[in-house]
Amino acid sequence: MISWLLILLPLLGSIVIIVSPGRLARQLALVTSLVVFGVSVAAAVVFDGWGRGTWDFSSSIEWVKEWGLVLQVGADSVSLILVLLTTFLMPLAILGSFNAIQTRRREYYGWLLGLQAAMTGVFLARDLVLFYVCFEFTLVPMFFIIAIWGSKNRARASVKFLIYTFTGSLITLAAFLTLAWSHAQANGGQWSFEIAALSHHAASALSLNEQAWLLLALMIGFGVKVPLFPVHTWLPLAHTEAPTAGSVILAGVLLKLGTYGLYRFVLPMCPEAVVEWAPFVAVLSIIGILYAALICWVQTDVKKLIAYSSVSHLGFCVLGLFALNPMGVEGSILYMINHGLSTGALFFLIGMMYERYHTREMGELGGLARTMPIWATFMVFFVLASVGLPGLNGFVSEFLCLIAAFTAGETGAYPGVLGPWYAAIAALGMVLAAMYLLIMVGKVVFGPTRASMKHDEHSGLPVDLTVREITVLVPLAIGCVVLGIQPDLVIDNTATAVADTLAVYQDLFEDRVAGTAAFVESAFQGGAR
Amino acid sequence: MIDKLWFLVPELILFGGVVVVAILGLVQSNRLRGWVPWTTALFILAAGAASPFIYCDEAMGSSGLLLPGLAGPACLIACIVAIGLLLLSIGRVDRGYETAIAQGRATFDPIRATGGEYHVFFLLSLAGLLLVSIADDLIWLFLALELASLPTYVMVAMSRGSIRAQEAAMKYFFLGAMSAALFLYGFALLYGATGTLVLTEMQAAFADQIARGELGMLGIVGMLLALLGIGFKLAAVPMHLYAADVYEGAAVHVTAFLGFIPKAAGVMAFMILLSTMGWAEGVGLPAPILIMLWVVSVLTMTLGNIAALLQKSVKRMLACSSIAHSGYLLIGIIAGPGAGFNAVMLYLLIYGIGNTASFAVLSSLQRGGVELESVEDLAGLRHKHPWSATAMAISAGSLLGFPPLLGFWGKLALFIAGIASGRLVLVLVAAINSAISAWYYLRLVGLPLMADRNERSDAVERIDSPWPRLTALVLAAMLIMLPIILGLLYAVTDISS
Amino acid sequence: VTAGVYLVARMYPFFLLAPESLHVVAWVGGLTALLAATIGMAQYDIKRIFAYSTVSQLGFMFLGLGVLTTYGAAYHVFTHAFFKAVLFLTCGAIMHGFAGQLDLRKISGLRRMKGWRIVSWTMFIGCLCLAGFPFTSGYFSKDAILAEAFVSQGPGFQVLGWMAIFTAFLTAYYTFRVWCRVCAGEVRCEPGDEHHGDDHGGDAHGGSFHPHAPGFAINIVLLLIAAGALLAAVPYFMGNEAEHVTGGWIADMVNDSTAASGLPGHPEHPGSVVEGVEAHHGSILGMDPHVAMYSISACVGGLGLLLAFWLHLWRRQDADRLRNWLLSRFWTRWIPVAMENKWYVDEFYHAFIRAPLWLLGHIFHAFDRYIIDGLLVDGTARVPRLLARCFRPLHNGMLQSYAVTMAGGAVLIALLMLLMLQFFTGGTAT
Repeated sequence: MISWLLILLPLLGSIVIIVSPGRLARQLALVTSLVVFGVSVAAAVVFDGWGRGTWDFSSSIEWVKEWGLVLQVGADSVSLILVLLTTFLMPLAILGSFNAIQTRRREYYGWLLGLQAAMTGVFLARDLVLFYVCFEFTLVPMFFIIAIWGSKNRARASVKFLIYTFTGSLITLAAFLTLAWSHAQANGGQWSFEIAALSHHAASALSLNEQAWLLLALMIGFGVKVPLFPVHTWLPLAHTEAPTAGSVILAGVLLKLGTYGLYRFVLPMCPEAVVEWAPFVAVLSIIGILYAALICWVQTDVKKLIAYSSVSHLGFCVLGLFALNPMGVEGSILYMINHGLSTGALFFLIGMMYERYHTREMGELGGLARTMPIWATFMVFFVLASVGLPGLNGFVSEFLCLIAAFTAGETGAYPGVLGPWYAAIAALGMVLAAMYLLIMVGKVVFGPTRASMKHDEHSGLPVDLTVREITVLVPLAIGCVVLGIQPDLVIDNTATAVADTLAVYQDLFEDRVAGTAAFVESAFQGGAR
Repeated sequence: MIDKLWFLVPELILFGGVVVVAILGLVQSNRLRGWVPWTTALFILAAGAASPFIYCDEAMGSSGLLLPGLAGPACLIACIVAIGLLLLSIGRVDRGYETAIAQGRATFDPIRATGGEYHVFFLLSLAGLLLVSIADDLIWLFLALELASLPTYVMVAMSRGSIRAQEAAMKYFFLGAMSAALFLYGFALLYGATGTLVLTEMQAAFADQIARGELGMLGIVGMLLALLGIGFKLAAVPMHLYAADVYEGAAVHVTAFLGFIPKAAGVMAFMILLSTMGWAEGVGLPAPILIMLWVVSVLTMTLGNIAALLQKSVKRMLACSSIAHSGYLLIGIIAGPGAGFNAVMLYLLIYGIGNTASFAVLSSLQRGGVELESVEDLAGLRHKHPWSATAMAISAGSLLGFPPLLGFWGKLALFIAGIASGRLVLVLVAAINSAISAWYYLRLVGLPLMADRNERSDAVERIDSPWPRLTALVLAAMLIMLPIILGLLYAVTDISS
Repeated sequence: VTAGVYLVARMYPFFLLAPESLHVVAWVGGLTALLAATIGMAQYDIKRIFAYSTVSQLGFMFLGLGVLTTYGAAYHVFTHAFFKAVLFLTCGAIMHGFAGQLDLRKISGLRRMKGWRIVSWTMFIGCLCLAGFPFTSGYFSKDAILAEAFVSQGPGFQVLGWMAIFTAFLTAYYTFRVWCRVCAGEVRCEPGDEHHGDDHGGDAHGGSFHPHAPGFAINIVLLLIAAGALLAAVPYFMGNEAEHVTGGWIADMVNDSTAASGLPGHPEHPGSVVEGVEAHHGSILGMDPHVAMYSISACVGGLGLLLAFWLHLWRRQDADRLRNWLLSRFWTRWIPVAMENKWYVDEFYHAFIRAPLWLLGHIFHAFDRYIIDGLLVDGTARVPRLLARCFRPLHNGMLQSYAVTMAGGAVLIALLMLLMLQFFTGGTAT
């Protein structure tokens, strides 16, 4: 019930906004999203799956019996955490758009809330078809948001975004259907799209070869979404052209749909193939990390820089997932949240600056620490969070992913198929991240003030941030600090669910690993306590 | 004989409608003439309402038809879509002439009026479609197919005064005649191969031949020619070339009609014919036929979609897209009875609604008294006609197959059927084709909703009659809402009983 | 700054899984320590000297980690935090007081100036600790690392150990070079060119510059931290249990270290011992085996200190003479030049790391834009359109052409069917 509420409330809000007068749209949207956030927090409070691998809030509606279509929703701890991220970011995104969006408000806020419904649906779906429908439907609102309220090159960006991701997920759909067919054959012709049943079937009944094809097809769909090198090129364009809130949601949640898909489908469905191909995926993600980081370095457009940094950061996330050990997967889940908070905040900040100066070129900006001290403080703070300053959120997750890749060798407490070299090379990405982000901060926040910089008097905004804008940023900053100090909030609560997902790998690795030295076990426990 | 007549009740209702409408269309009174479309609708509704009782399971069980379950769903689907097609033509047929009469600038002259004829042909073609679904021998099938097609040639010719309509009709007629010759020759060969015209006996003969491993070349070639010829009705490659020209030449309400009725007739004929040769005792189709269908399906969807990419005329674009949809439909036909045919029927309904919705939008608009031509005419439509723009976007999204719109579920059904019959490659090709089609469908979404207005589109206005507009809105709403009762739709279009 | 060490220490179990990486860490640490120390010797900017000393000490810490004494490394982090805080604070006080002047050639005799006594003596304490003067905190922590370098087995760890001892000598030298120059000697000062708001411009230029001494608060803080720096030696004398009292994180480190001692690569019976450096590894870390190291490092520390006093306090001209002597000879000229230019590390970094990476960034960006996005993505996207253009001539609007194409198409499809049939079934199914 509460799951349906989380999905349908924003949808309802969206419809109400579309039919209500335009001047009320902002307030209605904000209220709706706050209510949804309240509901999700309440759900988190009563949720009984924290620290356990169980599902809660489950509900199912029989739909088309012949195809086995049952609309099934529910939440385990990982889903619920990502739902919380979504519901947390959405009011901020709406609040952050108050000034930026002046045209066609009803549609804008309607689409935003529709997007939220779809994203929540993705995380809460326990049925493959429902998942796919929500997964695809996220494209539509984002398409409109970019295409209508985006900047100069918006038409190209939106079409590219939609067709690229649409193509990828169609391949994934074909794979899902093939899997469901295989499952139906094994079950005497009774179709089912229940994720758990299909995962179990795929992991146990498919041959290595079949799993490899399934892996490929799933990676095409989710890899585009993540985005993994070399299918990332829609992202810089879409990010750069999207309006601020669009970028925030895109970076904050939409990219996570890809990694969530990897976690929810790829890992449980094709374990043997994953073990076989994890090094390959890891290499792709490491290439992505370094490649995108170097590209960031030479960007002159601040927003594009942050966009490419997303490619780089999500590489860590994928690396952690494919380390195939609890530490890596937990780190990766934490990373999803952290990246949503810090990169979302960076997009907000750049949007706020852009509203005032109408430029994002580093060559035309400088010395904002003097003109906009509050903005500059937040900027430095979130850049540090993004760089992975210990004490802030990015650090823990990035490090967990790296350590996980490091230890995921043939032997060890948490075996996998990666190894120290993967981590060592990926760690260069951290160094590069620090460099390009700090160089950017150096130029924009400090540095000399440029003559070309003109604060736009007509923007209706004061020189420094308004109370509304600060209200947008403060919760994100709090989130960064809280998760920096208490990453256990995420890690401990999802540990069992992750362990359940990875149980199949433990079995697989038992064959590979001769024996695990006890002292390493103890050493690890001593070190990572 | 009597029970055969019993099965003809819906068709007879339609024929009755033909008589009534033909007379009504010649009445001097403007008011009574205004009743023509509504009378037509009444008869269509009556036929549709009768079908569940006529084609009930007990009756069909002893009907001796090859696909006994086909008739009921076919009748329902045809009638539902036909109502939409009819509504979008209200106020379109004889528009200038009727307006002139209403304003007293002209007097009614039965020779000049075409309103009654249009509706007569409409009903006849629809009756032809229904007859296809209950065809039990080859002659019947041929006649039914021609009954479905022949009126459309005339409808194209008289749809508007433009010379292009005449040209389109000529092309349509000659190529249609050629295709009819082709499949009639195929029928002859089939007769030669089996010695019977009755479809059930033919099925037994082929099953016997296959069981003995001596399915002759005669039968194969006959089937091949028959399928290629009927492919014209579907606008399947290589018989698709006429589609763009004819669709463009015809008036928009006739184009909408062409996009559905002949196609549905062709698809049903495909199912019936193929059932004689394949799937007996779980064997599947003979390899040559399977390969041919496979190739035709791939070529049809691919060529249709890529041709649509280049089109500047909105009607040509939709024409090409309807070619592509025939390609998708062939997936279900390849998949065979059961899931495959059910998916085909479901897809027909869903495609029919989506296609009709998009043409209804076009039908509700005009620019300087003539139809919209270029896609650019739709640019910035939302400024003056937000609802029409929205309906256009929704129908394009549904035709594209974007979840959660109705079109997606149709495609999903086809994909499921295709995969369940082991045609994964075909489904992948279809998936890639869907992605290609996104390009031009997105233009139909983006131009009305996002683009700025230009000089051409500034002059776009609504036509007087509200009905096309309303049809568009209702159908668009159906595209959004119907997925909720997907189970019901599935049950309605289930022909496997 | 020391976060890096902390990280490595935290990740210790994972490094342990790959002992080779620890050797790398040790060597990198040792070389960093040496290099930074030599750079520190030749700089004139006080703050920069202390910065390089930090780098050098970090090198020590990494060395400690590399040779498997997390305890030593962590302890050094701990002590270093105290005395480096003292040094940088005094440095800041001087910088403030002398209007940004940090050149050690321009300031002298600070301890005799009014109000600067506390600064100069706390600096002295800091220097003592940094130099590893016997019984200061730095002495014990550094010893722990140095001794362990000899104890552990690894490629060239003996050399590394002696290198570290030499570095310790250099450390003592350059720290007291600063103190002797700045705090001792004749009273002399030249103000910097940074004017503070409360300075009178005329005064600064007129030669009657009055350095303003640090306030009471700063002095108190300095004293407190200096005391802390001295007291940081205390944990060293506590037993194992007592060490747990000093803070959870040191205890953790010790636990790590204990775990580490069980490692296969670790010497249970350290064999080679150089010059009587005793190397038996006790159950309680860092107590007994370092006796020899006490004396050695005390000696080198003292030596370095003496050298500094000689060259920079008693006979300052000798230092310049030494420099000139080195410069005048072709074979030795590179030593001071390289040292003063920080071994060209910055230039090296720029030429071999930064510039190539920057170039690579541009190449990747172009690659991303034109090859991946332009060629692969947009190129693929253009394929359907190109195909469509190929088929366009078929839609020419001519009835006859349509009829021919349809008939031809039918024949083509029939042929294709036969061909594929041949291909799939070998032509058996007819």
